[in-house]
Amino acid sequence: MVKVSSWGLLTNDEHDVRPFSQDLKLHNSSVKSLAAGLERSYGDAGLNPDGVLWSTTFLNKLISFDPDLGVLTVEAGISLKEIQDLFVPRGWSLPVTPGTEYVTVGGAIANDVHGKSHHMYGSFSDNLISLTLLRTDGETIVSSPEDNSNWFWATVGGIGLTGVIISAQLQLQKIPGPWLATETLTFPNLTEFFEISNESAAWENSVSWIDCVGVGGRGLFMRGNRTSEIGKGKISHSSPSVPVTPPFSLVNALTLRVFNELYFRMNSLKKEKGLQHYKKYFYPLDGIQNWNRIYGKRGFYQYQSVIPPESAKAATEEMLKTISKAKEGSFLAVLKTFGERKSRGLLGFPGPGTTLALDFPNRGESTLKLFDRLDSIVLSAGGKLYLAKDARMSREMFEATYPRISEFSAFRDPGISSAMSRRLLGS
Amino acid sequence: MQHIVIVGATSTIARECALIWAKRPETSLHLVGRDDERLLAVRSDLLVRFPEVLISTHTVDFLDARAIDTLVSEIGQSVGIDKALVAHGFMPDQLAAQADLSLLKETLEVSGVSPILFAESFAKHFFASDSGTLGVISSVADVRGRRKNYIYGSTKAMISYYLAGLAHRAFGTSVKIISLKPGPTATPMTGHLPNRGLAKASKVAAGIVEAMDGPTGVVFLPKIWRLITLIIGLLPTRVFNRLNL
Ligand SMILES: Cc1cc2nc3c(=O)[nH]c(=O)nc-3n(C[C@H](O)[C@H](O)[C@H](O)COP(=O)(O)OP(=O)(O)OC[C@H]3O[C@@H](n4cnc5c(N)ncnc54)[C@H](O)[C@@H]3O)c2cc1C
Ligand SMILES: NC(=O)c1ccc[n+]([C@@H]2O[C@H](COP(=O)([O-])OP(=O)(O)OC[C@H]3O[C@@H](n4cnc5c(N)ncnc54)[C@H](OP(=O)(O)O)[C@@H]3O)[C@@H](O)[C@H]2O)c1
Repeated sequence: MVKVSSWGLLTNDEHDVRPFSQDLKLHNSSVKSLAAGLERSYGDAGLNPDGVLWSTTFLNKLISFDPDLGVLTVEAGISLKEIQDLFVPRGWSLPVTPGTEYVTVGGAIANDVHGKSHHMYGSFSDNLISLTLLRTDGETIVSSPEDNSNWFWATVGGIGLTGVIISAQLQLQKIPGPWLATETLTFPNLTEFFEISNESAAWENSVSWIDCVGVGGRGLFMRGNRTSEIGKGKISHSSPSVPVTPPFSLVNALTLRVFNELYFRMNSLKKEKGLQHYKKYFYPLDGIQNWNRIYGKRGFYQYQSVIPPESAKAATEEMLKTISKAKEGSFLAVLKTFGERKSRGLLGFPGPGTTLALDFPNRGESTLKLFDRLDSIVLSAGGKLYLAKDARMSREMFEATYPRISEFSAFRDPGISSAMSRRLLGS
Repeated sequence: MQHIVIVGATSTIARECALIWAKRPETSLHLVGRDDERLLAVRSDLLVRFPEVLISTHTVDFLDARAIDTLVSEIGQSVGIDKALVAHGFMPDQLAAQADLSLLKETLEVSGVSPILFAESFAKHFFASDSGTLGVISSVADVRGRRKNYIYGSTKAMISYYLAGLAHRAFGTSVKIISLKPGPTATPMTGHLPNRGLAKASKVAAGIVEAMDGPTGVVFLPKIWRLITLIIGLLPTRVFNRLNL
């Protein structure tokens, strides 16, 4: 038995961790199992306390690459970092990656992850050609949007509950080089954020940082296009680490105010146009290993919602107001307008609307109460929460916001269960 | 062209070594394993990364002395082997191996006997041409019999003892014998343990590749294990037996 935490460090429970191997019989009548990637989900999607956790990170071989079509086939435990490190120098890139490279292909599929290019290239599954699933009864199912498509769309965004994804075929995108031509624009309020966002539809990538301390909703809008230009500066491949978990959170109302003021000012002084290496632009947080420890022993939550376009502005404003009033929240606050493409995963998250993602140090009851208030804003605005980040949404909220649960349930693997599935699906 | 044979090429540490060797110009890899499909998967992985590298794969029964000898001499005759790494090993659950004699036997054979069969076969080849480097992965688990892992540990002690003899035999020749002793490393073998404190397989592999460019010797990976095993070895039995190791 080994203690395992997910990224939010909210729990640290015993798991029977086993290296996944395809010859192993997965099925164990009494104990339920779950596949795990790099545990970058914030909440309990990748946890199965007292049960079996199949660690897939040794399932990390490349299977084939077609340099004419850019089609890459890999085992599912390989990290996006390994893929990017190998293929970006060859002029190819994953079109969709989340804000960290330290996730596995299996994890990226199981949450149908999105990135800064959502409005251009959709979510991870929009660039996924096929996947192979191993069920705990030993059956192997190959699926794609064309064949066995019901299995494909259940597994995409299916938080690991349909079986173990063992391999996947990915469409890479030809890129002119590892750098991006970027622009950073400041916005004083949400009205301007939405204006800039609309004007930026032709940019390949965009994301915003938003200051959750003030009520105004000021922030920085960062957009970028791939370029063949080469910037200056060395990109280091090793990064410093937060060595220990401090007993209390280093993020509090005071440090937050100071941080945010500095960050906003430093960046608004910066040249508006520039060149940024893809690692810096897409994965800024990967520069510090174990940064999640700064929130201290009690860990932290991330609250990520998406609100449909018609109510996006009003609801986002209200959420920011609520957060600012509660004096919670943190430096890591991200706002992005998704494109038109809705994840076709039965439990998929990304779709038309605006997504707000915010970290909250765990202060117990007061933090949870704040989330309840945010939930009601999200609910009445017709939005929903992202399972990759969630650790506490109620089953009622889940059922009210994910309309295809019963369809999904038919594809569940009876040998698999997670802390999240028990919380949100009852088993 | 440098010809490098890797036995147990599907092991995590061996794969990491192959990744480093494959980067070298004029290098050809010969992968040996027990299962064709798994070997071909390792080969494909290397070829996606390094489309230029020459790689052959060979399957053999790891306990069949004659088949091993035949395979090694076939490879030796067709290409001339410059370096050979013997990497396979098997660590059972100690309690399970205590309870089940056939698991105990399998462990002794796979982790102890088999690597020595390969090693002796390569040695024959190398001494005949008075050239070549043989590296065999033993372990720091060889240092002392301890209740939690003495079955696997004894296979490694056997390998280390054997390699010491082989190194002695190599003295005054051009053959190099490298006894490789990793500490706990993050691979499927330790996949059921907490990740903390485990060395990265890629780091251990870098040490192995470096050592196999050097002279005959015993190499601890990482180096600190030389000191740790020295201390463990020096503890009086009275003290040692009280420790829960
Ligand atoms: C700093 C940071 C930034 C992030 N930014 C974004 C972002 O911009 N956009 C976004 O969408 N997400 C983002 N995330 C979330 C992250 O992308 C997802 O949580 C992702 O699923 C994590 O992958 P993982 O390999 O760590 O999987 P884990 O967290 O280990 O597992 C996630 C889920 O996938 C399942 N799973 C894993 N492997 C397999 C497999 N082989 N077969 C079947 N099921 C499997 C697990 O059971 C679990 O349900 C971010 C996370 C961090 C830490
Ligand atoms: N990991 C550690 O902490 C550690 C520490 C010190 C020393 N070592 C040693 O390092 C070497 C490499 O191990 P690893 O950690 O990289 O482990 P690994 O990835 O689990 O690899 C184990 C290897 O042994 C082979 N093997 C297992 N059972 C076998 C059998 N019955 N017959 C033939 N081959 C068999 C496997 O082949 P298949 O793929 O065909 O199963 C695989 O190649 C081993 O000698 C090990 O003892 C490891």
